[in-house]
Amino acid sequence: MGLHILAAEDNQFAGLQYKKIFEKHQHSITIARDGEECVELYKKRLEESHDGSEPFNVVLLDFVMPKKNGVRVAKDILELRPNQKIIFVSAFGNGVLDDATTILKDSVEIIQKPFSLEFLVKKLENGYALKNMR
Amino acid sequence: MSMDNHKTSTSLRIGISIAMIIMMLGLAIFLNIFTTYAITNQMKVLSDLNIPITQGISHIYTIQQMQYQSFDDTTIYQKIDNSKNYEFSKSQFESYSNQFDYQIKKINELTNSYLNYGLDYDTNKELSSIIANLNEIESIHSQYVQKATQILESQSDDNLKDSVTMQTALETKQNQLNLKISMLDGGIQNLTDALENKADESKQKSVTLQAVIIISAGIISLALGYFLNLINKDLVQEVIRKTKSLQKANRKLERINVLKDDFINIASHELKSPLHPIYGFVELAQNGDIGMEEALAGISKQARQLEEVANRILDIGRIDNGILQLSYEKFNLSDLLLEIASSYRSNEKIKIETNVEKGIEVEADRVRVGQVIHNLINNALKFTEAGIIQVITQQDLEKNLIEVTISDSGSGIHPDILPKLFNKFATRGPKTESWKGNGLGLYLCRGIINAHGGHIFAYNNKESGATIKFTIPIMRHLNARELHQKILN
Repeated sequence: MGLHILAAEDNQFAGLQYKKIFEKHQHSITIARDGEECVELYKKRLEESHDGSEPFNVVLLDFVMPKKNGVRVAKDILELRPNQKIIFVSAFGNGVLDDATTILKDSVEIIQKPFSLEFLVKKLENGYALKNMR
Repeated sequence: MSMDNHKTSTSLRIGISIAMIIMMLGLAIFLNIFTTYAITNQMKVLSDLNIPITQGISHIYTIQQMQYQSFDDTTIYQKIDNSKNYEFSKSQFESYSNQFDYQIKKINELTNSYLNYGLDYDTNKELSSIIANLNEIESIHSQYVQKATQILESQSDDNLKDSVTMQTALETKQNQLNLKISMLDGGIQNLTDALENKADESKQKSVTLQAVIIISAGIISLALGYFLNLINKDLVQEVIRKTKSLQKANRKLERINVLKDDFINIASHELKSPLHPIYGFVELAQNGDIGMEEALAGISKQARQLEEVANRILDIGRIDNGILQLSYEKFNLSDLLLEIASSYRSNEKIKIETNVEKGIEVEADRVRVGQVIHNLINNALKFTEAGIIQVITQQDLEKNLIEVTISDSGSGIHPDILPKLFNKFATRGPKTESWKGNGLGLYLCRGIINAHGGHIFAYNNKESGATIKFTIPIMRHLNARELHQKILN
């Protein structure tokens, strides 16, 4: 059984690449083009899953996104489900992100751009396996 | 510069004040020395003159008394015909005369020697009257001696009546002489008193003058102290002022530093963003997950975006340093506007309308102006979810200006951001939540428009959305004939 991933990515090529690599590894991925769409998609999936199970196993966000920035999207999602696993991918240096992440929870991780797609898949798979083992 | 002048005049004033104080104290000391010398001189005159003259006068008096005695003796010896004693007494009488004359002469010389001693007028006058008195005493004495000699010679004639008359005349002379001598003594006393008074007066004058000088020096010192206090206050003010301006400069530098950090962060973000999918394409192609052609097309598109970003960052640097170069050419702005507007596909939600006059020929940097138009339409699209974006032109041939208006019906510009909209990072950095875009687009637009000698400004529409207008000169160097022809056409 693959992972359910929600990725917000305004670069259309990067979005397509996510789709390609995750589907190759038998995971399902939903791409949002901006922050608002991301929150909407999350809400929609949450409403559909009546049994209270996780709508997505992981949410991938960028700090910089049109319409709603990553931190606000993360806050909205954590309000709906406080334990939602969120990973930020960002092209900013660490110094900038430190400030932003202090307002977020421990369940939030950061990966710096650029990184290899296989690395991202491994990270998500390992993280999820670890979580299930606990 | 003004501070330097202030400093110079301040040190000059302090220097002059100190010099004046030193000069006054020096004057006081000099005056003291001079007065001491003058007083010493007067006292010297007093002691040198007073004692010998007083002694001389008492000598004269004694000699005179003894001469009377010897005259009396002579007349008695004459009566009793003691010729031996008569002769002796007579010779004694004569010797007293000589002694008298000698003493008078001595006093006269002594007094005379002081006449031109450089004494003041009063002392000289006193000395002169003493000399006159001495001369009178001398003459009265010689008359007395003459009379006494006559009496002695006439005694033998036994002329009693004559003898009594002569005796009376002699006594008169004798009394006159006594009077004159006591007057001389009084004169000497006067002179002594005058000299003593003079010395006292000099002392008093000197003390008063010295007191005046020292008090003046004190007042100047106080003034100097007050003045130094004022300067000190000025300096304190100056230091406070300078500190404030330094603090201000420091705050400005801190702000610039934050801007610089933001710029580096944003530049790194913008450069990394297209780089990420390039790596992705390479990775996918290498693993055979996508076709080579798809990967290359994607890479090429991202590379172009990367180039654009790099150019924009370079442009920001050029604008910051005021070295943005424009390459002027004549082109049709109408065509450019229509071409750019049509490159954005209208959809059901957003419609792009153009109201552009035909055939607007301008002389400007075509690529840069295109960049501005792209940027403004992109911005309008970014803030408009649904509605109309309008592109309008208006020419003012007399002013040689073309005005391009791009307005939207979107969310408008936040009133906090509006006044600094065209500043670097006006739309804030990555740390704020309302962040949209990199905050450099409109800064770049203003730089380009200003470099053309034009203006760019923005306002919120009454109904909804915002409007951004820019003007640029139609012709770079307008020549009057061309303008006239343009207006005629």
